Amino acid sequence: MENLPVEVIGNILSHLESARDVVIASSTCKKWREAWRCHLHTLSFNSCDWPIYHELSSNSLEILITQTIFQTKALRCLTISMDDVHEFSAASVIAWLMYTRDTLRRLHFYVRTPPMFNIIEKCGRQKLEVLALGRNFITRVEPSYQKFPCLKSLSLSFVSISELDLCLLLSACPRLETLSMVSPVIASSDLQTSMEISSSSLKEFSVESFGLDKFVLEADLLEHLHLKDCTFEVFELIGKGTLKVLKVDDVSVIHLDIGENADNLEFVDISNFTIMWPKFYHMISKASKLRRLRLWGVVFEDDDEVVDLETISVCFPQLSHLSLSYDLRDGVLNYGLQGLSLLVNVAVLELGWTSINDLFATWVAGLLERCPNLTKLIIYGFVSEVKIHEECQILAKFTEFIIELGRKYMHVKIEFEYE
Amino acid sequence: MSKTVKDAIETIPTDEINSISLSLVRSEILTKVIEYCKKHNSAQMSDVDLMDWDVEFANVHYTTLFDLVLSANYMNINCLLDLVCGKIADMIKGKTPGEIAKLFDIKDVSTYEEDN
Repeated sequence: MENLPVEVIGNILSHLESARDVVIASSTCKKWREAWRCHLHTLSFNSCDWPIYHELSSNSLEILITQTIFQTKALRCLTISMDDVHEFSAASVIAWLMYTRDTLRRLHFYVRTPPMFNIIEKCGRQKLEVLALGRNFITRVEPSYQKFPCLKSLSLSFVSISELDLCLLLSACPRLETLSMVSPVIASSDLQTSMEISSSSLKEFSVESFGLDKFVLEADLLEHLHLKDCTFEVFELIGKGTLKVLKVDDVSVIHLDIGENADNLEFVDISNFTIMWPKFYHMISKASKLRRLRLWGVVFEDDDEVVDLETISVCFPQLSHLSLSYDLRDGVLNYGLQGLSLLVNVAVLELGWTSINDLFATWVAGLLERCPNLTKLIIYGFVSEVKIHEECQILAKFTEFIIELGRKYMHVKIEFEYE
Repeated sequence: MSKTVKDAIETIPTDEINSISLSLVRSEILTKVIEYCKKHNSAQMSDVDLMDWDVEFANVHYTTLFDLVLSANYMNINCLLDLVCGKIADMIKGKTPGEIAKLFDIKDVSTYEEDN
């Protein structure tokens, strides 16, 4: 231990992250104290780390955080995350941000601040690469003198910002690659029904718990698009065909338009969604490079619609990972399994049921036949707490059936996940 | 993977390279470092499997960990440095200063008042 240079001790202490752990460990010896004062690069005040944080008043917390931060010298990564009960004064937050402004690269700040305090103004903008805010207000953005030249990742959770300021903020971040919004509060004088944002550098966009009539995103370099727990009438992506990953989870959208952006899609993950199959299929049909397709807990708008394997195998020849879980009806088996073409590249198959019936076993068998190079099959099942006799019988029959299948397809590893 | 080695290769003219001096690294430790670099460069394992492998790799006596930290620092291999520093940090977490000093056999334990 004596041989370790003090910077390395600083690195080790930085991996502790939690301020309390770091301060305690640093008092071990003189060298460690020097490491904590001069070479600590990461520090975190997170209410999850120490129960006492809940019991302290906001004022006491501010003093504690100030005293701790002011003993360090070269902080690169600062996390302050408290629960909803606390609110920090502008003066304290400004003091912390000014003190760390020259070295800070990553700031995670999830604490309520006063409504009139515009946190963006006080952030050290020159070096910041990651900015994550929660429960704050962005009241005004002046792109002419508030630029974030190094910012790569921006995350806003429960942050209040107007559409105009959001657009201005994006234009002030010329290198932004990741934008994530959770429950944004769009401040506006009138009832906001639509929004349009654009970024020429954005590669990943995710939005969660949001609702609007119309949302338009213009991003020529976008590769990842995630929508979760949202309600839109129209969601439109305007881009240049770079989209690789599309994830839609628990979303209600009448018109989802990704334009002519399907050509490079590699992963499509749709869950808890009502699909109009022809329209959806048309949207992704050009994705000949698709490697992973997941349709989980989806409901088809039209009772007669099914996902037919013939279409999937023809349109997505490079598919290596297929995950399907939806209500099976007779039509699904007859129409969905017809055809002869094989899914030659599928190596992993995930199949799930929400309420088990005899059709499921037949479906599994049918799919196994179509995947000659399968190496792994994972069955996801939902077992209800109260099992009636009939359900138990079906489950038993299914188990026997799978054992038989296992014998027939010896090269396939079969796993189960029940919840 | 090692910035030190990369820099050495880039600065020394190619026809003069016979060996790159890594005088501070013991051979047993260098073997482990090479094992790590090979595993991480091979791209044969999935991310999850690689993480499990890393956990096993770092599951060694603390003196070996310190040697690995020194080597990774000297050879400038950031991912290995992060892995080993993280492992040492896990060992420190939740312990009192006295317990830490005992665990790592730290002799130079001075009190707070002595420095201030």
